Amino acid sequence: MNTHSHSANYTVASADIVSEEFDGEFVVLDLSCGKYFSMDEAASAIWRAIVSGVSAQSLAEAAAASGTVSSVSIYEFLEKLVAYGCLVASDNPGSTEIDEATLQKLSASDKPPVVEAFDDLAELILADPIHDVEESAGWPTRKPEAA
Amino acid sequence: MANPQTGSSLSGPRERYASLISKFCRSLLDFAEGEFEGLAAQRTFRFPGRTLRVGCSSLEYAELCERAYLISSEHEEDALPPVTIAILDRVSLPDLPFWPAASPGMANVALALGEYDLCGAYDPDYDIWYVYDPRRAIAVQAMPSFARRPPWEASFPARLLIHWSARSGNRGMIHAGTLGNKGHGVFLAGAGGAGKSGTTLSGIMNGLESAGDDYVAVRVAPGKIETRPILRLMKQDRAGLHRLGLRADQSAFEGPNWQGKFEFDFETLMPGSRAECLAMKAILIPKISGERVSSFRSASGREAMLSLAPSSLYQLYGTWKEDFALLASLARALPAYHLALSENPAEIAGAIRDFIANGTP
Repeated sequence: MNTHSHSANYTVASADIVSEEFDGEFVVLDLSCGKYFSMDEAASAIWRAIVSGVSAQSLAEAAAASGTVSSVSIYEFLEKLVAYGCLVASDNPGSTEIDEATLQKLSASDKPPVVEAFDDLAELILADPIHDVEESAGWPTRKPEAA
Repeated sequence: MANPQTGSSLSGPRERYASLISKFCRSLLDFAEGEFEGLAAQRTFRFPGRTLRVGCSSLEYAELCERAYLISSEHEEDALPPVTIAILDRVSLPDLPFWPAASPGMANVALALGEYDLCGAYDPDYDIWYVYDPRRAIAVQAMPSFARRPPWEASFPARLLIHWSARSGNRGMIHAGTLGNKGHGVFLAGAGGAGKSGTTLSGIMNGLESAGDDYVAVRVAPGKIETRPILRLMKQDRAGLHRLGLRADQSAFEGPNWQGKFEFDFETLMPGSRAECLAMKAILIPKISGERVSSFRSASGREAMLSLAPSSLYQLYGTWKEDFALLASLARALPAYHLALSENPAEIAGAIRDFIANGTP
């Protein structure tokens, strides 16, 4: 269910989110937790547009006009990316015009955008608690003998 | 200060904690620098693009390095300055600094050291610190005791330190198999069990070359991608050897290791099989098919990335942002194919030889 109003905008969640493009398809990696994501062409077109500053509303309107991907599926996809930690809602209105290539990708797609999530790297860097540590005069140079 | 791994900055208690971790790691580097000349064993290894001065507080560990590392015979004009690597244990060096608190965990160490322009990792299971300072060109692996080392250290000692010191703009180390013929080659990418090592061994047993079946050095140059070997050894399980008519009790094979696999110097097993340098032509994604004849099917760059990146990032952590970009540059530059493997090793090798020579059938 969409928890944001349809006027909400979105932006990349943090500098920990990095992405690479391959012939119009993105792979996204969250450096903070090791999860990575694979996007099909339609999903990639939306991701590229959001990253470049296109508003969610512009994308939804373009999708509705194309008659192939519904505006609801655009918002559902964006909310899924929020749930994955890739995007956050933003008050900043997108000011970038949606480009012709994105319009063509949305028109050409006859199914909702698809993103697959993978967590096989995540076990490596589970978030760790921080522990109290006292810095004495320089580091202890010898481990205390066990009692 | 910007974090080179994430671009973000820490704050509050996490910032203080990160500061303490970085100070501790610098104390390890200072200690290593001070002790280096007096260490029990010192060796020099020339890797692709970088010479390493390796000092060990244990002679046994230096022997592990000599067994695993391949010395590059190639002189490269654009080689990077040498790096000093110290591999230290507290049994030999009781004054080796120790972290006087609970395990900091891998994420805290990686984030903290990135914030302070260091590369680092901490293995909480074995209480091992790995730290590299690229500005000082010095790295340290500090462990409680060599006797209690991780079993995988024997296959590739100080793997993370080698990985970080091999890393520069257009160079790096990745986790992939390779096969080649007459100086041209292909990557074999995929998760463990996909058939990378078996395909590599099938290839060299049937006349192909390889730069390695596990970790290899890559260099992205204008218009070409080169791969060079860094390790002497390959490994294969008993069943994999049997499929190729080999027996684990042959003198070429040592083991089994911690994975139940047998290690071997592939140049000794098949003289002429070790390629000094391969100009890479494609990324192959092998899968055992059971068909009579191996076949190739075009794969997308995204599929190539999803086959190539996870195992490299899993095995070679600490510089994910840079490595993700390097792996992406490979997946974009090279065409990729799914390779459905037959059950006939000689046929597989022939199909790959033809592919390297002529492209897809």
